[in-house]
Amino acid sequence: MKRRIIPRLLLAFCLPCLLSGCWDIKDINKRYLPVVMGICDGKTETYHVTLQVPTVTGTTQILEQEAKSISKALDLIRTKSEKHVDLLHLRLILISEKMAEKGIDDIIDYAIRADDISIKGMVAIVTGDFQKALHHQVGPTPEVSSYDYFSEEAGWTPNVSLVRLWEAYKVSRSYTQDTAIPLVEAGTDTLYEFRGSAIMRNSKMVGTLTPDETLINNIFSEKYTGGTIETAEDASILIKKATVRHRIKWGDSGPQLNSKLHLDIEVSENKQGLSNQEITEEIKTSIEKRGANIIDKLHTLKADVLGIGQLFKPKMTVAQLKEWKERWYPKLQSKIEVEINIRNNIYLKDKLRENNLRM
Amino acid sequence: MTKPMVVMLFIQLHLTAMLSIFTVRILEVTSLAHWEAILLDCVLEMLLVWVYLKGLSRFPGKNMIEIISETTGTWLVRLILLPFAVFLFFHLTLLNRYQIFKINVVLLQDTPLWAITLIYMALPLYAACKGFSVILRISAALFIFYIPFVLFSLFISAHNFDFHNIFPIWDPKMTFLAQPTYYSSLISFSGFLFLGMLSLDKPFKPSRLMLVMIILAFFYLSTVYVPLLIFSEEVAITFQYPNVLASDTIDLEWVVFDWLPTFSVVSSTGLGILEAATTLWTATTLIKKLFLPINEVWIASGLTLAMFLLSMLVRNSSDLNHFLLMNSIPGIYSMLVLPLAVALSGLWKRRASA
Repeated sequence: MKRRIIPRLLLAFCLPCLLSGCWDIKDINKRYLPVVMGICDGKTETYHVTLQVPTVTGTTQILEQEAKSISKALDLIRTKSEKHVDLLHLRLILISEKMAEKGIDDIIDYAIRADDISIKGMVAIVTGDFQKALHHQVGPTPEVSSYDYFSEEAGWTPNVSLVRLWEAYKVSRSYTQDTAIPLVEAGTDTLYEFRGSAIMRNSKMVGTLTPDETLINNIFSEKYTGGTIETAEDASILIKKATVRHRIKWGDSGPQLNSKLHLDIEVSENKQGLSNQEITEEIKTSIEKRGANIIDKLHTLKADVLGIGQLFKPKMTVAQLKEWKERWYPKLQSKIEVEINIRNNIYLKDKLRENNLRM
Repeated sequence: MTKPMVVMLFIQLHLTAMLSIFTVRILEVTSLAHWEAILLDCVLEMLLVWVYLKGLSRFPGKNMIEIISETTGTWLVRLILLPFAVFLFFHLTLLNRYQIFKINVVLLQDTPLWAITLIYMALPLYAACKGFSVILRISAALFIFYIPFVLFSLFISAHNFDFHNIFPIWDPKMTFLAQPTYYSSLISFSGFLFLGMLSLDKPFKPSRLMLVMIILAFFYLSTVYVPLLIFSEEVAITFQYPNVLASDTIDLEWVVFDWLPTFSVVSSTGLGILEAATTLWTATTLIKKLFLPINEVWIASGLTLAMFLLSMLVRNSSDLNHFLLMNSIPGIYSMLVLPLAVALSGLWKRRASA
């Protein structure tokens, strides 16, 4: 028995050697961990890839390279850098506006295919000076990372649209959806300035939504609440809850959509002392109008940013699904109706002016 | 050897199969109404298991090899079970290879394939040499440790479901039936075959396993529908490992969950090793009883070595796909013939004794 124990022990000790995965080991202090990747047109080559690497001292190190493909550019960056470049923590991909107009299919495909980039990373398009936006550093708060701007756990607000890599990939191939990717510019007092969203049609940028339109768009896609809306008559409201109910019908002329948007709001500013009734009316007409405008705009661009095609999936055959963006979406007749419920006026009462008069 | 442990192993073998090639296969065969294809598979397996268990219940304390050879004689039983042995051997090689490719893509990009394969061979070999009761005990332990991870990695992405992607929900023509690939998806339901090798004194009642299989049908549906609901059909079809990617769509700030695909791959790897151990044990027992009556340690070691060399020869994923399709022929043969042969032997015995 004793004789057999020794070879067994030896065998057992061999296994941990294999298990350690020695081939993949690279110490953390021997790695660059970029969090932001910027991609724009190169001067001489197809792509100009920029990596932002946060350093221990709080500054950001920039690695840049031009090449015919993104992976070649990364390969060249790895060649010239002292440490291993590891994309595991890449959280934000910034694409220049010019590139987005030509189409971002190749970039998204690369990011999904790459085995070291997580598909939950975010995508944004940079308008204006691309290099300035990437080399931009904000002095007093060194711990700020540029992807905090988009993080739902950090500085993100409902005005900003939010698109993850997998969502961008999904809509680039989907029959029934398009998307709006956030549009940013180098900021003055902060890292980025929000400039609205880029309307993508089949992963080509075809137009823009202003920040206000983006907020309305976000409300309609039922995603985000907490944004502030101003009305013409010097009153501001906060949106607490937004629910949308869609009624779909497939008539002889094509798809028909009736949407009912129900908003729970709070009045946050009321300079002229309007009654809640008046504010309700005003907000209702204003949102209905803005909504109709956006829908018209998206219609003319043939971009189904709101994902209305998804709603019609139950009514369509496979053949119709494939024709949605080209044939059926332009024929869509849609109507929006807004219902407003003013939850409260926060610490003040309704009809302030009338109360004052009584005193 | 207790029955709950056998049930645990039964569940885990099915989970392994559904987490490996199954999702891709089902997504490939049809573009709409995937549930029809999945449930048809499930019903077929239930039917086969019922026939198998009914047949086995007439022969308490005997395994399937003894049962069939009782009625047919030694040479015929060798002929009948030869495709089963072939299926087991290639099934083991190819599914291991599939897992190893997956580990290589998702987890260990720089580790050479032979090193991963070596671990994948060593652990099942050890378990198979120790015998079936050890495999059962491992399976009970893995069941407690791994099933939460499997469920976690499968359903974590529920937040991103878009239920509109379920449509179109009805396919009256069942076009998938015309696709040969569809029949290869049946291989993912071959996890019941080991039941015949157990020589139980008190055989299983079919009704109890039926309940387990209804629960499993739900999991088969979820493995396909999770990526489908997130990405929609036209997008999910482009992925090599849809379930792994589906679990990566969730962004949790907590650093442990930073790389969620790890959970998915590690849990399916753990289950894969268990499946390899069971398959190796089944193949070893089969070869020992039918073809080569020598010590099972030698048979198991020989099989493992052959498997190691053979799996090194599968050099790319399109070859692997091709071989998996080829191996579904002996696979479907075993799934149909084994239960039928056992059931017919039971009928024969009753007629002879009457």
